[in-house]
Amino acid sequence: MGRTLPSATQVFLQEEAAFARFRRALRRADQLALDDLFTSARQHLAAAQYASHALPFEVFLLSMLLEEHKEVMRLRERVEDILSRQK
Amino acid sequence: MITSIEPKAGSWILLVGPRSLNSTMLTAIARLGERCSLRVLDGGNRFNAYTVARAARGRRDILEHITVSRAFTCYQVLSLLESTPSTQAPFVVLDLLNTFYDESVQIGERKRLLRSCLAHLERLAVPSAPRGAEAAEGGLPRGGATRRPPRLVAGGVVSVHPPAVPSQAAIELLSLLQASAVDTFFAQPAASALEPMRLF
Repeated sequence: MGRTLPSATQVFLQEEAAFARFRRALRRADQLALDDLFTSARQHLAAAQYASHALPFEVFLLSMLLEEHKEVMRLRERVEDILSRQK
Repeated sequence: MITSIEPKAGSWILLVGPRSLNSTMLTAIARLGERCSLRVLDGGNRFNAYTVARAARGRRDILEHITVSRAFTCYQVLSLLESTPSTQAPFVVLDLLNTFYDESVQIGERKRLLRSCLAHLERLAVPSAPRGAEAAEGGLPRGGATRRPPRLVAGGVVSVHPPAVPSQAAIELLSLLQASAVDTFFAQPAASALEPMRLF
């Protein structure tokens, strides 16, 4: 007996491969940004596997959004820190 | 290219094609699931729920119409078909012959099992007499759907893929299957999209 469903990692790699042509058409700077997004989604593969969502790409997109929001929160904290020092 | 499958009441049809046929079969299963309950009997571990979920656009009501059972040996295929009751829901068998290509089982034994399977396919294709309101609604849960789908009676679709290594036994099994099917369709592999030339 084998797996009845591909693992989250396999699905992720398939999705990444499916966007290969999209990536190729992007400018170099945009390609790097896209790679960053996929790298951020890769950090949450274990959670994506646990979620067992019917549409795993939605979970990958949410993982990307999660990392982006964490970055926004980090930057906000830094801005507030700088502003508080200036006062 | 196959975009939808229409089971014929009281009979089953055979689809013979390459392994790439599987993804279109799964899309067709999702389309059929929009209209009625159906049973998927997976003989070759071909049912990818993610592909079906994507084709169904993640709609739970469609996915809940689809029941999947899997078999991993030719003995399990027969056991699965034996244990599947006749209802009004149509059935789809994915890659029926996959486990029958196993050469560790004697060809005579495989043929015997396949003949028994064919008898069960005939049984499943014939819709059983409706029992109660649920049966009259084609197996839909009561109060679950606002729009009642058109009533579909049983019938089935069986898909098979040619073996990776062609053999006389495989040809015999396939011809046995073809002889029992009402219609046989041969799907050709889709021509691959032209890749743009790489500059680097």
